[in-house]
Amino acid sequence: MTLIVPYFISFLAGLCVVLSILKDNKRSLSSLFLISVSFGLGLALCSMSTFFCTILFEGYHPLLILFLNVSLTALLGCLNIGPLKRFSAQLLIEIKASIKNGFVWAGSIFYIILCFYIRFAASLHPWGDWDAWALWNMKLKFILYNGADWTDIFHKLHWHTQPDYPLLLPMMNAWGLCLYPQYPQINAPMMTSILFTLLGVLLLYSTLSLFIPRLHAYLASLICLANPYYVYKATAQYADTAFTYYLLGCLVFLYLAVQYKERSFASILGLFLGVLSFCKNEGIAIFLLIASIFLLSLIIHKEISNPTRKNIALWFLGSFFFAAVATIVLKFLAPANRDILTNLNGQLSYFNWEGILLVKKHILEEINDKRWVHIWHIGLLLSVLGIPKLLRRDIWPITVFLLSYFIILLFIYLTTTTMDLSWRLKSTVPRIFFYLMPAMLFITFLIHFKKDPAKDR
Amino acid sequence: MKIPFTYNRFLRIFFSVCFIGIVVYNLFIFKKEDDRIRSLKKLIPHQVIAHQFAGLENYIKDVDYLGYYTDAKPNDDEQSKLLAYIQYQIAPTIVDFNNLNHEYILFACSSESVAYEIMKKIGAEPVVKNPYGMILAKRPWPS
Repeated sequence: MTLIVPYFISFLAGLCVVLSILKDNKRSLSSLFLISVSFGLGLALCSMSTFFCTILFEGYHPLLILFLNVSLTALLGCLNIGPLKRFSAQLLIEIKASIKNGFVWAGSIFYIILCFYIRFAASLHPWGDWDAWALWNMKLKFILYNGADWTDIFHKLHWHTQPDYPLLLPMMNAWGLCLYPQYPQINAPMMTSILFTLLGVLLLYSTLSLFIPRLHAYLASLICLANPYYVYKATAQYADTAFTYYLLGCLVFLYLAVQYKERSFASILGLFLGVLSFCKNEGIAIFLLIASIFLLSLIIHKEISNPTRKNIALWFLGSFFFAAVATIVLKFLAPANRDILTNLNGQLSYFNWEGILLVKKHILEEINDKRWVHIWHIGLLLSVLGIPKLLRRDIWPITVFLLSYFIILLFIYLTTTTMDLSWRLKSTVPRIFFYLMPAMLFITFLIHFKKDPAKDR
Repeated sequence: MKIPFTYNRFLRIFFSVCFIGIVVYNLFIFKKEDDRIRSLKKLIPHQVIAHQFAGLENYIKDVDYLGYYTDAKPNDDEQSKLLAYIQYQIAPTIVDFNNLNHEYILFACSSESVAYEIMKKIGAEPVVKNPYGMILAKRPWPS
């Protein structure tokens, strides 16, 4: 109960923001899609406001944070009464239409059963796995209990605690605990991980169902939700679970923004990218990639006028910088990262053919790992067989992003200097496959099952 | 490049069948996993972490720093895990790795004799010892 209130406030805040941005958008977007987008953005918004409050008021003051977030949500609500009414009406219509639909009943019941399994899987490791208690939840304890000295996490802890890591997840959990800030008595990190597991799957389903038959969209979501390894990793309370959701959100809105050239989609893309950069350090690299690709697509696609092009680009960059303020502020507080692209002038013992072969070996081992039950085999085969479709004008940005991201990851691995590359690959490759899985399913299902483009809503 | 309609249709059917097969297989694995987990839960009802340091936080309430000494090799994985465990367990107290210059010091050594030898050198007295060989010591400290 104590967690439901903050999460609900976050959802309302996110809904107001999303409806406000989309109010001039003519596309027909389902309520489920709007809910899945709003929840994640709202949680990020409240996490960032918790971060700023903790800095400004020199410590974690839960009632003050609650007051500020409630006030912010109320203000957003007052400014968006019209869109909220329209959304409520749309939601009621869709619920009434769904009640008579057997597919919706069967699908929903099945989702609910799988939700119980997610809860059960999470209860197996209520304190999460290594990074959860060694990094995120440990930092949460400093935020909750160390008063003004919570910033000790940046400079006084052992380097193993990765003091440069962004704080979206611990701040989100701190926000979740605002009514009863007692961890681990109230296990906010576990509930957050369950929530993001579900949100990622719902976002995948609701986005795909805008473009492909609902049955196939449902299948795509089940591939994640029915895989025990995916569910176990998702409930490990790592930032990877939230990162999975926000990365998928970035790719969804990259697709929508490129397809429809609307500033509202570009704006939400900017917000997702900003949040992603505050979730994990990889988010910064992803922003640079996606921003370059998106702006290039605006230049290449000549059918929009220059003023519209500039308008879209400004809204995109403005939204990104608005959401990335927390990341920028964090960079002034935290030390520099010591593992990525450091010591490039020194001896790079893995920057050679042996290094490439080692990376290839670990990637192939992961693809062939029986825990994935051939999902990656089928997914990659689908991608290869759909290569001409991957170069379509609405899809090529995502294709270019995934290829470029792979090259960047390869470069980072080959320039490893501070640790053994084999150990690094063993620790990180499974997690990369985990957070890329919904993205892979999104693009492969979209290119192969998309309905007639002329009939797109 | 236009792809023939029948090829598209073939791909859709083929991959739908493959993915449905994967989902159905996963649901069978779910049942197996469920049985395995329930039998495991009979032995260990819930996840236990940092049990080696359980109760330590009761002795070092409101202490800013805890020195941590170990004679293990620097990159030993097991030691890294213990260090991470204890930092989580006693947060927001800061664990200062291999620094004896604190009022409270935790000795996680390979044997008690190693720990007592160091304690003698720095004038520390043991406060509590647990069944896992962890010794919390306190040294004279200017107030």
